[in-house]
Amino acid sequence: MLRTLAASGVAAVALSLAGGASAQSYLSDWGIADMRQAVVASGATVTREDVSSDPYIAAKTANGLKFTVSGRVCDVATGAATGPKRCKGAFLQTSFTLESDAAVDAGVKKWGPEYAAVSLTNAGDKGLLLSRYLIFDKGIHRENLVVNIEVFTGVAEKIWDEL
Amino acid sequence: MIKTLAIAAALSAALVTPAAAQSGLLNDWGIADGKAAITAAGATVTDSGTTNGALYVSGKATDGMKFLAYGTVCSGTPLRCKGMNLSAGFTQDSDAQVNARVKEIDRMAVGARNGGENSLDVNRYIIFDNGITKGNLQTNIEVFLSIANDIWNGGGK
Repeated sequence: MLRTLAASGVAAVALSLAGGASAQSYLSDWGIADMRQAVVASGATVTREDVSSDPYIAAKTANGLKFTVSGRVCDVATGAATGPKRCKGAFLQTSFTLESDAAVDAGVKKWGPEYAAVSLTNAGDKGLLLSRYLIFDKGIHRENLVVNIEVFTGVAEKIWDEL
Repeated sequence: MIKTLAIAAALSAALVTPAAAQSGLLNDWGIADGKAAITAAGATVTDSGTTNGALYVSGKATDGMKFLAYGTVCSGTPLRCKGMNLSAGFTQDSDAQVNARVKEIDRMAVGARNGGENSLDVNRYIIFDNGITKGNLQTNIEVFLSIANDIWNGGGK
């Protein structure tokens, strides 16, 4: 009987630890430290942070591509009047200035069907905007966030190379 | 002694069951996962299967809008995929009208494209690598259906 209880205790500890690790590894929202960690893990460098409103990070990849991550659906902790915000959505974006508005439209038409993982839009003023929107509701793994950033910057750099 | 063995076996089974299966986590998706998520999002599955080495599940939203969940980066037997492209196509009167709609649509959670043959294509791409919860997949589908439906009805501007 003692042996049975001991075995149960070990299993309970193991299951408890597994639950704890899962809680740490999955994000159902994000704060500035979470995103900084993911951006750095993707191989990029954080060049600016701003938490005066919704969290915002500006970054640069090893190849020099500049991009930003800004929070969407952000709020302070439940019951708190002030404090750091956490967000349910993240908007990754970068933009390229082309020689004309027509060139931007042509780029949207060319690369749009080619790259399903990003959204391409004519942002006006000859700007080609590339973006990817991430939803955190109910949980994504931290490493999934890193892969999402890598995919976004990878596609953006491919298009950048073709400009 | 029999009770002890039974408890030990149960614990052993619990510990060897994949964590993903226990906690609703997905590192990739199979046909059953796709169908379950679409149904949980309130839509109806109309067809499913494999084509060109990829999984697909087609569905219809409650308002009648048809859409497709198409697998990318698929492998294994049975087939499982690391990516899912949710898409819907809306036929416009002309190529120029498609381009005009692409230009005016402003919804960050989806992409809008000229799919050719006067089709305005709307999509959302989901990456499964390293894990998302089943609930997160459901929310992604719900968001896509909501925005795509708005665009279908002339909105999204």
